[in-house]
Amino acid sequence: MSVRVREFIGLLQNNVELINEIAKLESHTISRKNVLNLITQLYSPSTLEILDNRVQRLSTSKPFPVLQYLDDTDEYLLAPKVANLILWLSNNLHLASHRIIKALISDIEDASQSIVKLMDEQPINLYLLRKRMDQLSTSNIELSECAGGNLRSIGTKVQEFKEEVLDFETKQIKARLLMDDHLTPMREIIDPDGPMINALESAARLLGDISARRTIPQIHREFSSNLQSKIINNQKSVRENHWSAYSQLQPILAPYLKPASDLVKGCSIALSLINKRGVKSVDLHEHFPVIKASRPNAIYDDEHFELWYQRNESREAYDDIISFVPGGSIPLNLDIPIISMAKKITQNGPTEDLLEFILSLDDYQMHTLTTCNNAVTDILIEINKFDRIQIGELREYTRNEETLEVRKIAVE
Amino acid sequence: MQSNDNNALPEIKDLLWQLLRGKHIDIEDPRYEEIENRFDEFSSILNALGFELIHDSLGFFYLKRHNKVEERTTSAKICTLFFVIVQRLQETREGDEVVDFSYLTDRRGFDLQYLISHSQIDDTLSRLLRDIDLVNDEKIEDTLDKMKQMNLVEKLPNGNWRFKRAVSRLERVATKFANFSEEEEE
Repeated sequence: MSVRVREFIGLLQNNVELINEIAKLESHTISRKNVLNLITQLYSPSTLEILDNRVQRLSTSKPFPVLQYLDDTDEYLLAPKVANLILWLSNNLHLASHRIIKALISDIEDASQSIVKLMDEQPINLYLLRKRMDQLSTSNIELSECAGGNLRSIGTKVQEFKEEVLDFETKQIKARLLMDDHLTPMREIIDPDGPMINALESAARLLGDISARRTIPQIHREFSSNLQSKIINNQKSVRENHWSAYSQLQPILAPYLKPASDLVKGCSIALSLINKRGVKSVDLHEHFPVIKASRPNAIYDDEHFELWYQRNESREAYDDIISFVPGGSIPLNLDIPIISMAKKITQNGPTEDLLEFILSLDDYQMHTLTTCNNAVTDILIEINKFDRIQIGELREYTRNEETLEVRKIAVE
Repeated sequence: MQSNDNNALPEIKDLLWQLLRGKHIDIEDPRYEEIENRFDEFSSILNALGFELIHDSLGFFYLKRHNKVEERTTSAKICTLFFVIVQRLQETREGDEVVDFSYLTDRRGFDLQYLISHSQIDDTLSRLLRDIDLVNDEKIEDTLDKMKQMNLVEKLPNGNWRFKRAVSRLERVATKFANFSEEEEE
């Protein structure tokens, strides 16, 4: 990064509050007087020279002036690139957050308290009174602008939230953050019993008192009356705008603030994966195999069923080869029907040795020892009453050339 | 093999075909009990055809075909559509009810065609559906019809779609993903 660029960015950083304020103004222009006032408020320069230097640096910066002085109107124009950058940042970084609104409310309260004190003194210091009313006016305008900025900021975040890659848990966290960091504080601020309404109502009451005091010159009373109307209007519009935004945003976040089942989480994660890597990456067919609904080459038809059925009816139990497909020969060893076998065993009463029992059945003489032993396990699981199972001593079982040494299992 | 008379086959042929066409025969089906009673017989026939007859503990039968993966596209369409449906149900539900199997199988059903219409869902979900060729609402309805053939859903007289108990298979697919983490995968 070149020295010039670093200096330029440093200048922006040092004046970000000022630039942010000017960026929010219409046409990004501000009178010279107001620039000086703003700098005084924001940075409290100790001398006039320091204040002038700040303005000077901003208006002579390289590669282009941050603030361009317009001779004909005695105004400063904020460079459009800088204004756009700052607005973008303020939308994304929540520079106009509820905290600023809180600070402005605090300013309004301070100004109101000062006015109350001034009104109690005799004679009333009209200069200070006007100054405090000016403060109230400025804070009132800023409050309105900040509220707008904050709405944009929330709007941007929610839009991003809607468009982001789907992942339920992340969205839950983000929704909670948006709710906790923005919407809830905002709702608290604009609540009818909240600080904003309280501050503005008491300021408006105070201004009403000023405009009704005949001992105060007409010019101040009129100003006070106008400001009172502005504050009342502002209180209404800021509240209404926020409520309208809140009621639009809350339903978008609501699904993610509700408790989610594993089903919802799973669907969201699956969609997120599909979104990131494509549907093929998820191998859904392995999780949910689907049988073809039609067979264009008609491998199986009614005739095949009939043939297979007739053959099966006439076969002997030890027929180990059953050919179903015409022309071919498929070696088939029928599975041991676990469910019906478990039912039979529980109905028939105690079985002293389950494996021996299966091995003794005529239908399973062609099954291997391992298959029969696996069936024992499956049957035990199917019976699912382990208090009825007795594990006995080790025993050797043999079938053909296969030998297996396992514990004898009895079912009561 | 249980004993059967020679006339038994025509009776069960229809059920076999329904299973072979991917239908889930659930406990609401009047012939569910028949499969249950003649499970061995059905199982043997279907085994010979290379299928495994599964009796799900939630009360439905369906077929699996080991070592032979078929219909990737249909599977992707059904699963993705299901994920989107659940997401939309979560978004639109009211109150504190949890979207789970019981919620899905509510007898009143849901207006799925409206819920997952391209005009109602956000751009991301719409794109995900378009990626699996569900480019318009008609194609979505075709997939719902396919799910209906499989007895995963049924269409109620009021136009709502009600999930049947066999949708628990899809629910299980989804909950598998609930415990998924990138680290685990890598």
